[in-house]
Amino acid sequence: MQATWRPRGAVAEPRVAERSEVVMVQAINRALAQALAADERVVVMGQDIGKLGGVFRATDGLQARFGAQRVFDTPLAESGIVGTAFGMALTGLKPVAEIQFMGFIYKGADQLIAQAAQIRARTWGKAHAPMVVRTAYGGGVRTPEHHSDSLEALLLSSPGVKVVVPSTALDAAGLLLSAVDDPDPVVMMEPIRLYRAARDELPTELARVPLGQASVRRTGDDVTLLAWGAMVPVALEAAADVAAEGISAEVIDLRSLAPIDWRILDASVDKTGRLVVVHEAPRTGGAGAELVASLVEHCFYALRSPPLRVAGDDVVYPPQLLEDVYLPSAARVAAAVRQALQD
Amino acid sequence: MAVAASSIEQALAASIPSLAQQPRPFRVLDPRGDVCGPEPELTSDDVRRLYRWMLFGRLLDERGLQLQRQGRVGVWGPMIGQEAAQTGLGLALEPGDWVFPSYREAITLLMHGLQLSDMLGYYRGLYWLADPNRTGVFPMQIVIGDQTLHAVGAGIGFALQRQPHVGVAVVGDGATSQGDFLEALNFAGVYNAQSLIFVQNNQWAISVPRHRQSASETLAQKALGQGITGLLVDGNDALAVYAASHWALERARSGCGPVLIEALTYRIGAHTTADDPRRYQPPEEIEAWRQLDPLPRLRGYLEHRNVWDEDAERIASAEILAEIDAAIRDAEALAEPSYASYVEATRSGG
Repeated sequence: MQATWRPRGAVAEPRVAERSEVVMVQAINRALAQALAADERVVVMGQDIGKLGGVFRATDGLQARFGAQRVFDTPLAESGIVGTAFGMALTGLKPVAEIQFMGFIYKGADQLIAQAAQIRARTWGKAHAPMVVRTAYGGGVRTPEHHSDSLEALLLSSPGVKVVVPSTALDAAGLLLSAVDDPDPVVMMEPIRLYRAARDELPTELARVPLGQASVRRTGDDVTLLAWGAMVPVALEAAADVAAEGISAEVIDLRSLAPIDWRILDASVDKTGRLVVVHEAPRTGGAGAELVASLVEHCFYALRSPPLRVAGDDVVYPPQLLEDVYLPSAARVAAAVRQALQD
Repeated sequence: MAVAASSIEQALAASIPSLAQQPRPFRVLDPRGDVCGPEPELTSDDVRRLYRWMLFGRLLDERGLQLQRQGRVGVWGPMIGQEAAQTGLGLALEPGDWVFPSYREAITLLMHGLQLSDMLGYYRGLYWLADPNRTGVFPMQIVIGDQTLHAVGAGIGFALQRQPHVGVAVVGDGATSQGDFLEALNFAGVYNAQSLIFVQNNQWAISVPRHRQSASETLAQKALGQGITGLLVDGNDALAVYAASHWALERARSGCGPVLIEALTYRIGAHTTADDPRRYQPPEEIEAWRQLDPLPRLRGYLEHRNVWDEDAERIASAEILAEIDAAIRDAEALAEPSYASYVEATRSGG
């Protein structure tokens, strides 16, 4: 399970931009530090997260600052990581566990989905598991096999687990802080592609981003573009491209896939009457299927053309040199927008 | 550079780990109830309590089977033959210890403070009613072996927060084949978890016999590969199970290391009321184990000490049956909750 691959630029400290801009992985680091400092029940655990600081350096320096009792490496076993984090959470700790790559999460999925996510229901609300699973997901950075999966659909039909996906550095920090506060399991899917591409200026005291709230990244009247994680910049690029043709696209960053912010989504589709959903995961049974189905139910009479999905094909994630064909691009999204406008 | 195979083999011998000794089961009472090992420090009252709980388990099992046949509970997993393993552990637990059980140690859970009416409510078809934070008893685990990791996680949590409690997993022999079981032993060793992993080896996982679960000579020795202490105990000897569990719990509680206990016992009854053991369980094997029934063994010990007799047995049985029937009435009086209240209870507070 150990990756021999190292993310580009991971070893050298990332370039600190002018002002106090930081990249997403640094924002995550800052949020973890703030959570560890604020609440002694918070512990950070996972493979290589101690001295190394994580393969992406998300936990860089945290063990040195907070000690090995609160920031510790685990044996190399995903089910063990999630299952023991769950047991720790029951005792009142708030574990933030890292699964190095989402493609490895299947091994911990039983403990996450069948155990931690179900304890509240199985005990009539009397026991609950305040825990966070952070995991790096998604393609576009030439990773080897099993390092590029987007497995949100696996989690969406698993009641009891919340799922958040940031697309900005600020949101990564804010969502993570809210996830730590949450009394139940939250999975934060961290887009590998944006770890060092998304950057924001961060305040000294990081603000929480409430779970379950989408964000309108670009307002528009003609079509609603839904995306999350690394597909948000792709959707924004497509929106900018079609704007030159006079098409006004509204881009919504879901941020939270469970629960979904239907209020913002419904309002947008009611306004535009057209819908395009973008995601990296395979089309069939993907999150886009649920979004389209529900929005058709909610907004049927407002729709002016068939909702469309721009998604991965129904194939195993392709090898590195073919991934750019597989992944939704701004051009593919723009083409879908034009199609939505034609109908 | 050809090297003779025999010399390689000779040299390799020094590089193969081996068990210096095969363990023999720890035992305090022989099958007749005569003392054959070091007796734990228990008062007569303690031992009477131990025996009364064994009797409770035997009688509860009979009532549970009746209730299932009458359609008053959905399914029942018989405990008959395993009462010593369950009560020995139950007596050794301290308040504040957390038990993550499977579904065949009802007596352990009742001894730890779970109300029988709440447990019967679960069997009636409700979810787990009693607050685990109050009772120290978590819901019975259905996904075999998963709870081993929870007990180890709790044991790590107790250690990190310097709380003198132990996370206890109770599993069967089948669970020891699960990856989660071995991951749990491994994590327990690395973190020195305040945990006890208690295996009731009743020789059968539904229809699959013990030797088909593992080529390992004992299940206790699985602890060695993960760097923790394993113990093999005669699971039909309640005093031995108590003494071993007490030792292991104190060891874990004081941060001296987690322990795996294998209690050797036998499932006299079916896996559950939905099972037909006649298809696979040899009658002569059942009969041989019936001769090792744990109840007469401890009763013999009590009678030798003149602290139990036929009258005591009769009185205790009548009391127990009255307690069980009262709990059945309480469980059947529990109002059926609405579906809406279930949905509300599952809703996260966050």
